Amino acid sequence: MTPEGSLLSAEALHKAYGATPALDGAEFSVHPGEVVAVMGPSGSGKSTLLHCLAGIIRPDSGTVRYGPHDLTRLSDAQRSALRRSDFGFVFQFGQLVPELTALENVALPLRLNGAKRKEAERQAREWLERLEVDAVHGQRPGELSGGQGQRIAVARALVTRPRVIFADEPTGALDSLNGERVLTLLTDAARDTSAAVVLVTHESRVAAYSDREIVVRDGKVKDMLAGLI
Amino acid sequence: MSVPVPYDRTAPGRRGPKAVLWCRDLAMGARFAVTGGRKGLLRTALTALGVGLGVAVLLLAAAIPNAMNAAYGRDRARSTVPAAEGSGPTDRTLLITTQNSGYRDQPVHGRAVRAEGPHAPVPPGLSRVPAPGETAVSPALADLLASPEGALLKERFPDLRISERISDAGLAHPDELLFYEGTEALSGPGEDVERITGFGERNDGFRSSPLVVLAILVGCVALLAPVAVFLATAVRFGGERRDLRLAALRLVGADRATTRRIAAGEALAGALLGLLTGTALFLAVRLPLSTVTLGSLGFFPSDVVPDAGLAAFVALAVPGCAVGVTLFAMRRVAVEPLGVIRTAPQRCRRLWWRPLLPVGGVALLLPQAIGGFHSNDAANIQVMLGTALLLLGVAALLPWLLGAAVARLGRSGRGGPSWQLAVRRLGLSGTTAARSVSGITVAVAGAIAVQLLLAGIDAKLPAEPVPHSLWTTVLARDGVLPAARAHEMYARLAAADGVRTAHGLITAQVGPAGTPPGTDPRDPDAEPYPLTVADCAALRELARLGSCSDGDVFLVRGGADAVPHPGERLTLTPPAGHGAHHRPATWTVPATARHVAARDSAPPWLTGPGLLATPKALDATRLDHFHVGAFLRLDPDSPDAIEHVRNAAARIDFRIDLVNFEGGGARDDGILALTRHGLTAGAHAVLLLIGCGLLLTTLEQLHDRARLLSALDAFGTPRATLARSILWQTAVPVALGLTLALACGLSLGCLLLHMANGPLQPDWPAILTLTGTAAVVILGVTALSLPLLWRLMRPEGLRTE
Repeated sequence: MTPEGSLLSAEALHKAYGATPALDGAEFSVHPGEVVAVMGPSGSGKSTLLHCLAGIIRPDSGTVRYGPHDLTRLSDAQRSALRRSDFGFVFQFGQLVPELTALENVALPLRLNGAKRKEAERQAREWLERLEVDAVHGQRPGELSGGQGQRIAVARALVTRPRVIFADEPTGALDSLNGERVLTLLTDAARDTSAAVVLVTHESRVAAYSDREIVVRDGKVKDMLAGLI
Repeated sequence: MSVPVPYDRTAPGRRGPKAVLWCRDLAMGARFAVTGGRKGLLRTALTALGVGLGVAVLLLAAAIPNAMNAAYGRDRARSTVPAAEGSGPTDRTLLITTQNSGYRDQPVHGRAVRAEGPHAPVPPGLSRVPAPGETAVSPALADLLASPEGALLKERFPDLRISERISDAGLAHPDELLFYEGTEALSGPGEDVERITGFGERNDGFRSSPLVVLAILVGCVALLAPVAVFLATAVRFGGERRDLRLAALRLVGADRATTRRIAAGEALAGALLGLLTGTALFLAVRLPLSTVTLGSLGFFPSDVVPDAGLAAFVALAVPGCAVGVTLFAMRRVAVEPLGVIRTAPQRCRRLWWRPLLPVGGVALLLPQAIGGFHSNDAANIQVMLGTALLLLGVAALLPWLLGAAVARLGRSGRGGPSWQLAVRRLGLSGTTAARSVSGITVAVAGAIAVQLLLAGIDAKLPAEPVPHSLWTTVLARDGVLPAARAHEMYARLAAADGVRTAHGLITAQVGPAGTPPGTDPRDPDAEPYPLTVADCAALRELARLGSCSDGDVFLVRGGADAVPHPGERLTLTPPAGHGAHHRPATWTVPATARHVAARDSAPPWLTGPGLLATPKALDATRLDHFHVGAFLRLDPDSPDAIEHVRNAAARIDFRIDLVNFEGGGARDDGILALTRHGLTAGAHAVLLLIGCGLLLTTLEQLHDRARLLSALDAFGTPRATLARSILWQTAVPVALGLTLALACGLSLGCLLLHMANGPLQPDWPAILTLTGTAAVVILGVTALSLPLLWRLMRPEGLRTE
């Protein structure tokens, strides 16, 4: 059953790596414009839940509903297309293409969607300005600080105006000041565009930016507002 | 419980003589190379394999002088020393004639010998001259005769009595089929019989034409230069991962110089393992070399021993090169603590010194091109050095050209994301790609140049017609068979298994006899007329006769060659022929002789102008000197028919020759063709070798980008986009390299052709084949990279915990 009004929901997700269960009947839902923090200790299944929700991996069983789609039934190509058009991603590190400039990195998802280079870079430039990193648009990732790199990554996640943004420990490699700035920019921009944010973290200060927190433990999900689901 | 020993800050630590520091750090690096876990071992193994391949090629090249000397020594030992002209038999002379034939596509070399005295020269590899009825055979021939496969060949030796096996000293190569047969049939020197006083005293050294020497010199440089480039690439496999490890060492206190020495130690270990691998590969590869023959030269595995000086050079140069290349490569890498590797700012590649290499090469080659090439030590070195500089100049120009091209392509803003990713990747790490591809460039440029040179030399050589006929010709030369035994020969050959049609004939040469009274009727300057005596059925195969009956004579016109006219009197003794003491027999061409045209399908050697006579018109027994011949058509469904004919001929007389042009005879271009084929094979091998290097580099880069690839997959990058990116990343440098190779190869080829004074005739099929192989290398590298790419585009790479 899909929680009413939810943009993305998952029911009875099971996923195991060999004999080790990562998700054990996990449930999840997120509404448009909502920021949900997924918390839990290391190895609890947070990242696996995010990967299942984003269609990066298929769960062993259960459903992931996004609009009319059940992501678990889509082909790899269909899920890739969906990720390009409707989802955005921010990871902890290693996500920017080192050969491309900051501007080109942000424009890359648009170009993969078929946009012309000039138009893609025009839109990318707007997001760079908004995330206060326009000054480094011509520099490559190796020449950027960690904070600048993460802002570039956020801009790249937002440039396609996704409906859901998945952020996996987006500030894990940043100092607290830079981390807070990145989270502020990410959540503000998401709310402005009514995008939902699934924020995986194990830091409670990061979770403070969310509207709702859930905790993953031993593959099961507990909603901190609604109690155990 | 043990108490930790306090750290002694006054201990000498890493202080000490520089040599000690070097040794310690190199040893530490070597230890890292073999103790770095599965991935570390794999990387070292790849380096060892890459270096090993290069070392094996270098050792083979270093073995060429010894192998050629040994092969030539054996070939020279078999050459005969003829007795002085007109000298009679002595106790130190030997009569010898060749009996070459074949057996199922293998040549069978034979010599019939008769010692004329107890001190007659002994052929090499034998302990004595075989007595009449005895045969000395090579081990390969002995084995073949003893095996079921050699049963048919054994029929050719009905009374075989093997006196001994010929030792290696008398053989061209281990698989040679050779025999020396003792016979009493040789009575004295004649058309094919030689009286000799010794073996192996010919003192004309192994020499080829200067043009062939030129081709071989350039070929060697063209093949070895890319091997050097490949070696330089191979010792840098895994460089990026190594840098990460060095960063960790910096964190615990290693200074920059130490990290460089440790890196050199790692490379040194790989190179030393490569030396061992290369030696093993060399030992494995030299065994099949015994099947290679160069004209009359062949090799035993024991011949293929590297020259000691060259082997020592390889053993020192390869590790030295590994250390040097590593230190040189690390100039631009700043290994910092905290795992931070910062590539030093990309400096604009300086162009000024790069053209100096090809210009220097041209400067060295130009004097030889203008003055013509004359093979001597100085000229050889000049050409080799010039060629090497020109080809290495290509390798030097390529990184600059690639950098400039990639910068321009990157600025143009055209192309999709895959193109953009590839071009940018090349822009950042194009040096690696250029380094790998420069090997291809040098190989292709060298191969094109030598192909051009060989094509030019080939065009200069007089074209020899390639005979092709459905007829097999058997010929008993003058003196072998009396005319009276001709019919016996036809009958035996016709009865051989697989013979469908057999025609016999007698050929001779006759001369004009119409001279003024009182003078010698045989004009020594007059061209003799070829004469063939055979029945109408045989003559019909040689010319379009129309009607024919025994007693008819025909005149076959052809080109500018004269033929006698009806009624002309001819002498049956050829001009300047033997038998001058006889009164020459004469014969008059009948007035009824008709002019006819030759058949194109006539057997080779029996075509062309001349006289055709039926037996009643001319009694062949009147001829002083003649050949008894036959031409046969064999059953195409009986592959051993030719062997049955050889056996039948051998039973009549071992001196009877057999020529089979059924498949069309291949023109024997000797060492020129071998050089061309060897070079083409070598160039393709080098291309594949470089392809291996490119593949390893690409796989290494993919491994280093595992996390990025996972991230790109996460936000929906189609796999095809990344696959195309790899394709462009390989194709752009290779395409540029090939373009440069074509330009350089054609230029070098033109210079070399000028030296050889040959016409410019590019061998486009060979050039296209080479470029096609390069394209296959590109596609192969891409295809073989895809499985790893797909594997790395998995979400496991996104995990950070």
